[in-house]
Amino acid sequence: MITVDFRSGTLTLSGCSTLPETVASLAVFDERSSLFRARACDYSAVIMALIRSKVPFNDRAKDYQVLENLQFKQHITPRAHQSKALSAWIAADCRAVVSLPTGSGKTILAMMAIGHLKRPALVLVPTIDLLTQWAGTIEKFFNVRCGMLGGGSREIMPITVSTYDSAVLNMEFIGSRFALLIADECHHLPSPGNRLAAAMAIAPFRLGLTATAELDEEYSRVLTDMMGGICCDIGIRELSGNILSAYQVHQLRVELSGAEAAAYHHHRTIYTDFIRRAGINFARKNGWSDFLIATSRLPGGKDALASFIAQRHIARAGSAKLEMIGRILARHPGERTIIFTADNDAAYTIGRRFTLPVLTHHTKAAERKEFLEEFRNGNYPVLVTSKVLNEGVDVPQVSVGIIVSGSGSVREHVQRLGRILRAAPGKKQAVLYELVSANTSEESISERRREHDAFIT
Amino acid sequence: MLRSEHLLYRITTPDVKPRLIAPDAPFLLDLAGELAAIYQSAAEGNMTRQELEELTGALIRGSCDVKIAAGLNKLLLDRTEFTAAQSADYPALRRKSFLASGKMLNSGITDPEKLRTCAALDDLYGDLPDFEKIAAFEAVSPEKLLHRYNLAQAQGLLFFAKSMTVTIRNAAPGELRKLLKTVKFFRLLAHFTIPAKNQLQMEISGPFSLFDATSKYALQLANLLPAIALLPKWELKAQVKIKNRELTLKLSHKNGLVSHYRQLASYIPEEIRLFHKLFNAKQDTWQIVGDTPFIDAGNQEVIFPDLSFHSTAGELIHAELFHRWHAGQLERRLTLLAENPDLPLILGIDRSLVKSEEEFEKLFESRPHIRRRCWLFRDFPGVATVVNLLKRLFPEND
Repeated sequence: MITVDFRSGTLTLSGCSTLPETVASLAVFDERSSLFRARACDYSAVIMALIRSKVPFNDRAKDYQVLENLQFKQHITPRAHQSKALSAWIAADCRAVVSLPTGSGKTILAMMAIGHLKRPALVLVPTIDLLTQWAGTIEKFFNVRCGMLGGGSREIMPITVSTYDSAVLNMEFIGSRFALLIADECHHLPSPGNRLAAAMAIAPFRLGLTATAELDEEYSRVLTDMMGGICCDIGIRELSGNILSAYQVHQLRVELSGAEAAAYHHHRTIYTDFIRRAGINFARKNGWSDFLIATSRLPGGKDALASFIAQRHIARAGSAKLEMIGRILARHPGERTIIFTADNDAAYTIGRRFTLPVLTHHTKAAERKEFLEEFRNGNYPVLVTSKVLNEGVDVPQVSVGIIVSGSGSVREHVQRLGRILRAAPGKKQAVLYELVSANTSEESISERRREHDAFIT
Repeated sequence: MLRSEHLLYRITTPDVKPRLIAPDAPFLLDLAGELAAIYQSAAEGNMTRQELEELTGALIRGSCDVKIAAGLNKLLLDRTEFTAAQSADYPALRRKSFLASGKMLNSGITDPEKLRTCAALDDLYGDLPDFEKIAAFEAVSPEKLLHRYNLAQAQGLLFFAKSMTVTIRNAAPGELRKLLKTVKFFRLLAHFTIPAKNQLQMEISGPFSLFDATSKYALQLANLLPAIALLPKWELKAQVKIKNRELTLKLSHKNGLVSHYRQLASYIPEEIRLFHKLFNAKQDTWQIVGDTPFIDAGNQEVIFPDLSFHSTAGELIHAELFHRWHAGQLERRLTLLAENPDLPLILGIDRSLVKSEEEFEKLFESRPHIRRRCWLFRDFPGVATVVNLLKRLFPEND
């Protein structure tokens, strides 16, 4: 008899010298352990192949049961797009990716999926803020205590939320305990570091959730392998003004002051002269590391690096931008506002200037929780953040976003827009301001990140 | 551990070699000594991270090799513990400040000067990591720091490895046993071969490496290097991917890497030496094999016997001794032997592990077929007992 075990994120098949043909394509003989081994994520395929081959087997890998007592505490009345997405996922054998805009209720869809299957589920999220937010939502909708893995917590329950990082570290121990794997912001999943979180889990049922499913060929292939193909894709425009808040995007060009403009051009010249001399091509995959290596090896490299940092700092957080922030805040008194920056330095500069809470990766868990709670209830109407609030955190009352600086990433820009799009009672229109320093490299960076239909006016 | 920006290596396709430093070079000893002294005095002065960085930064920038200095600094930083600034209750004062500024903002006041009056602290964010204070520093000699640096450079390249092959020569069973324990501790798997006499080759990788050339196990592989460096003669080969180039990393005992792990396994007790001498003197049917080989029992169970005997008729059998500190391992070995009766293995059990003869016999109630291959001893087995057992097991040899 073949015995199937879960071992360290893999399946082992022992008690046989050869495997039936249907199973052989899924497993390889591991000489290190003198048995056959398969990927944990191929668990359902292996079991189905064993059943089809009619070979007797003992499944010792699966370490979960149906959750007979799992019940909704709060009734969910799904919106049409959520019902459509759930039906598409069920039709795809409960193993597929759903692409829905931020604010359209992806978390509710996940609750519906958990309620449909009634089996142990592990939810993967990219940040600690999302970890606590998801755990709270699960406990709000179901009659269970939710486990948390990450951010200092390590409690595994039949329904558990984990950060991707913690899941990669722990999946070799817990990968047999869940039937359903939900990957929130699943565009993070295919990276070489994260993909093992899904590969080392046996969960036969999988739900990927994202607002931005556009991936390159390799990442797209990995996502399909790990989570299934895209079964439902609904864009921002389809839901805007109805499910999502109506919104406006204002790009504001701000002029650098005379001294800042002079300093910017001085440093920009030193930096660009150096990259020309060193033959650095940022279009290449390793352009950035080539630049860093050149700064440590070539004459003038240290000055070029210092000038690079100085010109970027001026463009990202010049005094004109700080003044513009003040004017925008005055235009929206009492409105819930998130100010986004590209780096922590700029975030803390703004926080000190306007006496505002700043949320970065340095913010400790207790204060992080307090900032978000007070922001939600309006006692802190404005929150400054670098990148940690780019994704997922749910504060529907936010109606103003100010992008002080950012990268050229379309995904980051769409995600930041998503922070203000959730519909809330009394919220008529959301406004996203994008501050761009005139006559600096920020203009081309802004052009790059706006290449999405959400920003077509 | 060093970060990628600290790594120094030379690529001569298809090989990559760490650029190791001479641990006895006077200028490097001076540099290591100066840096360590800064940390020591910064710790004694209870300085902040920012103050420490200002002091070390000046020395690093002024050094003739900035990268080496930065690497040494990183290793010293790893030996330093920081605590959050304690001068004020920052979270509580921030809360007070933000509740006040929130009221102003909600009433439409956005003038920075007015908002600043809400701040209950000179610097609202004075508790950021830059302002953390040194709580402890684990001192290190300049020479040890330079050796640690070389090992960290080699470990740094293993961060890019998916697997590695280690060949070990002339290692004592105790040393191999300790290495195997370390492999298991880091949840790695090894495939064992014997390429030549007195050699053991281990291909080491992680369980999932069969399916994906993942670097998930790279940190575990790197952590194994100090355990390998404890061995007298070893060679290591690893395929590493650096900047999209597939390269081969080769290291050996000849690189002079010095481990910071402690080696306690190579001691050969006097009783073993005496046993060898008496056994060979008392009978001539069996010889003690000088270099005890290992037994690969499959499924990652590798046995390093304490004694091995070779008969004039060509039989080879190994003996493993279980003392009071091996209690946890005895049951596992009895089970293994019961399931694999063909293993050429006999087991000696110290009386400290079983209180009486009855308790000893109870061990075999469910596996009587291995009873004849086990015997009791007190502290160390007597030669006569072992000779008699071998005679019973192989009567045809007499």
